[in-house]
Amino acid sequence: MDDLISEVIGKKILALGNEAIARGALEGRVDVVTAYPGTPSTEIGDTFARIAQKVGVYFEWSVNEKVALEVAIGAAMSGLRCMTFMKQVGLNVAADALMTYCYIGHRGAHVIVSADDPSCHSSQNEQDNRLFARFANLPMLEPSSPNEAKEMTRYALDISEELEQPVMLRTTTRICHTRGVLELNKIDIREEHRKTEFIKEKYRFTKIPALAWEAHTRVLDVMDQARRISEKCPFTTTEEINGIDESHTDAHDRSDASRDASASSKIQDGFFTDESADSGEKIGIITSGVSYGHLKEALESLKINARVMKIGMTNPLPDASIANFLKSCNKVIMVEEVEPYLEEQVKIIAKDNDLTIPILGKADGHFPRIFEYSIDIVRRGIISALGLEMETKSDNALNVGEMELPRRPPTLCPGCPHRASFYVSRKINKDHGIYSSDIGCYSLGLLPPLRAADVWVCMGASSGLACGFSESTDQPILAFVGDSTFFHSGLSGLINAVHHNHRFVYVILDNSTTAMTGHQPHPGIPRNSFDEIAPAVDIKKIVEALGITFIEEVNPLDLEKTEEVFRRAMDHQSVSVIIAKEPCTLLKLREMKARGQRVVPYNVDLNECKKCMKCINTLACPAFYIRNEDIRINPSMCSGCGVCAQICSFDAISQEGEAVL
Amino acid sequence: MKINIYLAGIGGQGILTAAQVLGRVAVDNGVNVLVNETHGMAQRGGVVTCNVRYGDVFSPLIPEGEADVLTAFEPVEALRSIKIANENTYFIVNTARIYPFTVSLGQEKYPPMEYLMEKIKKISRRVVFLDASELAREAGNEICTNMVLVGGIFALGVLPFDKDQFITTLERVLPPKIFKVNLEAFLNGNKFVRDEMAPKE
Repeated sequence: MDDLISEVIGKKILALGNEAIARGALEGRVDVVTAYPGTPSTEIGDTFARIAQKVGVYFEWSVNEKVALEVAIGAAMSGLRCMTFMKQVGLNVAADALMTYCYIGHRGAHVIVSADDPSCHSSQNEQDNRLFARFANLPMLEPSSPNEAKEMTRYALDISEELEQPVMLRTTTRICHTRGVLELNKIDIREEHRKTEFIKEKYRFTKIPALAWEAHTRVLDVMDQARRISEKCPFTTTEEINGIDESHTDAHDRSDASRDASASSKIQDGFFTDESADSGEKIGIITSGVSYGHLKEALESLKINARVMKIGMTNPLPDASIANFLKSCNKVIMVEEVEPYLEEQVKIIAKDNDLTIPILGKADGHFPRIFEYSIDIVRRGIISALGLEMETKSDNALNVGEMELPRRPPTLCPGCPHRASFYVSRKINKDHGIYSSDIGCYSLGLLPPLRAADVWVCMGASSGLACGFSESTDQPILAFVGDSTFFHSGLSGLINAVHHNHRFVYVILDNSTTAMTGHQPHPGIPRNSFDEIAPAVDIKKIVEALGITFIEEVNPLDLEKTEEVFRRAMDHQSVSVIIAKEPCTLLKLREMKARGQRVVPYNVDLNECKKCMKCINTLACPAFYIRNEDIRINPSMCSGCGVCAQICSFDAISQEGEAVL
Repeated sequence: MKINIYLAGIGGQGILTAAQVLGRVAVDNGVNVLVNETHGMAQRGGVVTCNVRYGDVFSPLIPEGEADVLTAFEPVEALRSIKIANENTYFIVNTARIYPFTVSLGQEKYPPMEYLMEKIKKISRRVVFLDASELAREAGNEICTNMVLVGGIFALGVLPFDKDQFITTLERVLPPKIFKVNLEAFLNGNKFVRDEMAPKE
């Protein structure tokens, strides 16, 4: 039995933040869930791929984030309860739909999850999508723990229904990928996903320019209403943290959304009449999201007393509650990751209320604006803001000095077909070629010795960038794109190339999956999100329909044939397309194992090997190693792709070992 | 109460599974827990770390110098994570080396084992080196290296649960056909570390 669909109310389970969001959506009676995979949000969808059919929820991995959002907008306009989730940069893709959607709203409920990635663990930037919420007039909640992520998802659906407005749940990597204890609430298990009837309503969802200003008025009214909700949001808490004596910690935790509003306001009143407020320096700290957890433990280790306001609903902010909080302190510290989102607004609130207390944070350099936070970083920030004379490290931290350790960068797997495509590309074009890359496993082609990624910007950009290079240089240009990324947004750049006669080789690295995020399906695969048979969209036929005159499909593991195809493509006088088709090695090995087949690994004949290092210096396959100057292949890592054997000048590599799993 | 267990190693070594079971045993016994995991990019042959925190914890990450136990699935990873430790931290270090491809390819040097062991011993005297991969093979499958190391953690007496409570959880979590070999691995690691930590005559 899957704990995430357990109907035992009150049961405590261990779940990942992303699983908590999935469970919260179920507890919020979600009908439709849509997404495009992207770290750190992906496991929400992996969860729905597993459970959606068992609980009567519609789920799809859509072609990209914009379409994912639009699918859910349609369902929400029909009156259903929806969730769309994406990584932070996914919201850029969805932004066109989002901005106008926020003007017009819906008739159901809709939570949009933005999983931000401070420190860029798996991303090309660390953009703070709280600014997006403010820009788009999107009410927003920020969870500080996995259980709160669950509760907030449910709550977000409820307030979205009340406001007829989408609501953002903004999480970060350390919430998404942290397991915590969840306490389960009720879910409805249905046979099939709910259907409804779309009710026509003149001009409700058709904002022609003459009516668009009305929609702008509507959203401003909605945000006023949302502000009133924010003022009594049960996830916004104030508490005294008594760092000097733990036994006096007086936490007013209102995070249980089921607790009634009058009870929580009493607690709030209790705080503002707290006796300790009248004695000595009153340090206030305002925080949100995962920083709250770091902050609590930082205060404990610093042995500082402070009152902490954790804001759960961060757009619109509870202005009146914040003003009251500021009035009860004579110094306020802002603790939030990335942008000074709260800090700048809190300063405006202070100004509007004629408060001149110091508000310390990023503007004056106490807290960094880059990287995710930790207990240590929050500690240092508080020490700096309060001008304390103490060690910025915790008592136990050691001074170990720097050590020279070998790095362990991520790399393409042994047998990855991308390695072969990159090898051939570089063999032909060397450093003279421009390698326009894209987002996926093949981004790792950046690393030496392959060095087959000079530029990448965002999903699908390799084709558009190549159009630019073709007009700005006469160098040979190769643009790489994965199959999933091609469907996501690579196609439009290719269409542009055809129409404007830009010249480059577009290499579609088709490994029949969305590999980097953990093998989700995409429209080119005859399987849907539940691994059922589904119509597949043929990449080759799409490319043919564009009128491209050079289209070749080749298995990149066949180096001779691949090189021949690449050379012809490079000579072609207009845009050419190579579909380098070979399944992801990890999938291939999994399927072989399921069929009871075994890999026959390659090995190096030490008598024949001249130690020229060509295999190592050009492929850098991680299955290779050197022992006592001899080049060897680790049989348990070799996938049997045979690329190394094809490039060996002395026929020293062959497949003669015993089959291993 | 606050107990911090740090796990460090390489993608594919079963670190996430180890962390999950260490989390699950807490829930099964009514103890609060936070388990932070590395997902995504780093799993492609990169470094994977997990923070397992029990008790009165709110942050998913262990602060510098605050690990009660540092479990390294690979010796270099013990040193890479050293800032998480203090002089009283228990180190459980798998001596089976996994060379980064940069080392296999001769682009970088892998430090000698003696250097690694000396560095670690200089920091803490509570150090156990074990060939967890070998102990896992003895149990029946090298893939259970993670359970050998978890078994080692349970020999230290720092966790708020005992061995039997863990075994109950393990049996609940794992499919029956792999439970036995994992249990063997756990017991091998547990015995090895217990013997190592026992006061020498």
